[in-house]
Amino acid sequence: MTTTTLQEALSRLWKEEQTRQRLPASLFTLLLYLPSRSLLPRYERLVHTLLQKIPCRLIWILQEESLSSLRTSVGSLPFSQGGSSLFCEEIRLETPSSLLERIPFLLLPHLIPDLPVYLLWAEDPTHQPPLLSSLAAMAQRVIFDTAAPSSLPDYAQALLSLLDALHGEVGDLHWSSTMGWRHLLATTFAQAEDFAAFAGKATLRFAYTPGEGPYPMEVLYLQAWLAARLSGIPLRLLPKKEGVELDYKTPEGMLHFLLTPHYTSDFAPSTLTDIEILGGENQATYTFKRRPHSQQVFVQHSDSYQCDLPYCRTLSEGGKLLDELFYPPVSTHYRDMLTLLASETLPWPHYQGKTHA
Amino acid sequence: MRYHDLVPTMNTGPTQDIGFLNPLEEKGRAPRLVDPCILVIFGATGDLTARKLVPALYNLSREGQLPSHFACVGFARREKSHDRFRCEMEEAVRRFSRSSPLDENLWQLFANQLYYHISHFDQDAGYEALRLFLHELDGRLGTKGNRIFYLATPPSYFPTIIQKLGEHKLLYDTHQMREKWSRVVIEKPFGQDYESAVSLQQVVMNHLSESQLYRIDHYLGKETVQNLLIFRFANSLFEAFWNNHYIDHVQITVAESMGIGTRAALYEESGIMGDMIQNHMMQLLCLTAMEPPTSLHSDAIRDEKVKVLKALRPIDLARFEEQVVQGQYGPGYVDGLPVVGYREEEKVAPLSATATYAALKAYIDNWRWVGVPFYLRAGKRLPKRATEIAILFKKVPSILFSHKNPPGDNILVIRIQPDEGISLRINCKVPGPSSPIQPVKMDFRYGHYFGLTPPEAYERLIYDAMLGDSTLFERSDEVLASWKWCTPILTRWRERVDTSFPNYPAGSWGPPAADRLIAQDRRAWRLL
Repeated sequence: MTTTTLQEALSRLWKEEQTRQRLPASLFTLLLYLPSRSLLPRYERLVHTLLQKIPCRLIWILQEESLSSLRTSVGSLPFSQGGSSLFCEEIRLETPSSLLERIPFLLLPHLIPDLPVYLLWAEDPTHQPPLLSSLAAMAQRVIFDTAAPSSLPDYAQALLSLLDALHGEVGDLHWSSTMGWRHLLATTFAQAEDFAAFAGKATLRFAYTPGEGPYPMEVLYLQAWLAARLSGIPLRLLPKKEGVELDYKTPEGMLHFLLTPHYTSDFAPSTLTDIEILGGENQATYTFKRRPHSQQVFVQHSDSYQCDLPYCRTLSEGGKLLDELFYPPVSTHYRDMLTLLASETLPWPHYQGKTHA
Repeated sequence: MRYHDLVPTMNTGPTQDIGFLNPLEEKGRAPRLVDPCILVIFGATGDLTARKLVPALYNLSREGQLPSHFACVGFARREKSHDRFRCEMEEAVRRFSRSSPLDENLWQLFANQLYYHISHFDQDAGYEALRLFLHELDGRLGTKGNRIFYLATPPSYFPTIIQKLGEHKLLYDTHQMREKWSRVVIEKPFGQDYESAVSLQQVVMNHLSESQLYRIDHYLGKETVQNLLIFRFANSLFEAFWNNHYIDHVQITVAESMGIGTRAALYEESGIMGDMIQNHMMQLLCLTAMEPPTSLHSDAIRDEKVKVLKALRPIDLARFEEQVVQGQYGPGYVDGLPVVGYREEEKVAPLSATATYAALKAYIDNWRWVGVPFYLRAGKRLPKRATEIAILFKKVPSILFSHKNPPGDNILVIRIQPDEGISLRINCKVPGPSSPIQPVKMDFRYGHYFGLTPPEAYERLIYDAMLGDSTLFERSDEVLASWKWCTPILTRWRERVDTSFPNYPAGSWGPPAADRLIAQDRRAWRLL
């Protein structure tokens, strides 16, 4: 379909909607690149959540090798908050990889003038294909989301160079999904004396439910973030039959991370369920246990001098596209975390496999 | 950064102030961290606690914004147990929380943080017992001695309560504030006139520093009011014509369709002046008329607001009736249903002279606004609930268009509530061979585009009070400057009681004199 045809289809859509007394609404254009149609259900769910709050024009770019030519379609999606008077436009561009070079030209006329453009890139950015550069040049911010990078250090390094290339206007849904835990840890370790728990040798156990990909991204991000914030230098990575152990040296001692999967139907796949922090000079113990089917976490603390009553905190929900679009882009916390993950000292195993289910 | 090199926590004020820099805290992205604390609500059996304060705390808890170690203690004279209070608050949250249904699991955990303390406001033994109870809670819950005392009581109790808190060492001095903090939150109105506001200020300052006192005007907690600053100062377009060269006049309306309900005692004390004009109206006026602040720091913003208040031209008492109209609602119809007049409301004196409506013409004598009248009106039992700021622009020269079909005024309306948004009325040509001019509206509706259910104002204000951020609270000079301007009006009303009361039926837009006030300038109130 040519651009003219696409424009004609949009005009027809507006006319049809006008008969229902509905107007298109959008605060921005959202481009979504998916390397495979199989990813569509996940991102349709993400978009559905977004459209419950904010209207936008959606342009999907779906790579589909079974096609021999470009295929386009236009449709409308309900915008929940607009009642019956507003709708969001949806454009789908499906293409084999051989025709990807046409995509930037095809969608350029359909970016809404004067409003932001955001790009969600649902592929491992390690290889940085030309399409990423072309689309990133149009976007105010690029949000990355990959379940299974083939090489974690390469992935982290690619994100670091993209951070520089895109002047920091980067979002990362995995990083966003750790927001609740990061805030919880920051509020728990809120005073200088609380950090005695990390002095000497501290053991940190993270339990998680395995997902489809080989890397539990949320868990890896969180441990790298914590290690980076405590000025950890990576020493050793030891893959286990299930899970992995990592050691970092800090100015105050040593951090020994144990990342362990556990299998339970109480939580969705790829969910961090428990954190236990042991040791330190005052033999402190911190336990964070997530309550099934909720955002609540029970927190309990004791050390050689006292034992506190447990209390409950609510994890802020992360992983939301909305947060990545509207909040300030990622900070030095993110950059430092990636720098640790990119460290050559940690021999992460390579993986050739699937992305999100 | 070596965490053992970090300076120990010093809670002198805002949580993120000098001292310990938490390496885990991500500034600008993550929600700001709140210190452990205890919130004591005086007047815990009152309407405000049930309708606003506890539901706000519940929603803060739901959003994960309450501190990790927290307790709320209700302080009131009625006999009840902790459990009874918790049951009553559960009912209140079910009814009044913006989020529903109630999260039962969360409620169980939240309710365990609620306590009740029985005492009269002037009972020394009650304050002593409170001090011991709070100390016990500190030990049990780890709240580290940090306190917020929320005075959800009639203003007449403020001096007593603050004095007793001071006498019983529940308020900390500067030296103690190095390790823990205490803050007092009070509701508007602060005083009933200028003299009582000054007197109250003196009582308060005997026991507190200005930085410990948080004067609430809940309008400042509204998203749309905060958006005023963004609208004015994040859009260069508007600054260019935000002055007397382009603006003909400004109308600010704060209208309620409700009557006074069960608040007769409070309303008889405050009247329309203390209930709306001196606080909400003055805040909207300041935010509309202020100069751009030098920064978004709380004092920079409040400095500019005070300048507006100081530039307000005093009411000319010789021409009082041309500038000020007061009213009191009589029986009428609201939403098609008959309602009683103010004097027939429960516990209102049969011959009460309290005003429930006021319309004012104000001038701000500075370079930006000289010659631009600000028409202000506020009242109870008006046809609808609506708060808005309307900027009416000067007419174009009448050269190009026929006098039979002149272009209408351009009007920029900022709707504070309900149907929050901004609209701009412009003139367009009606399609066709002739050129009749038709006004049309460019309309932005907050709810349509952002669709988020914004936090209630009290959630934001309580959260900011816990953080020690006073941006959305009134400063003493702000309060005193607004009372200084309003008090001569009150004095005149008291000296010359209006015998025409009631002078507008409930459900109408106020007394006819209010229409004459603006009509004398060949203008008219906007129909909302």
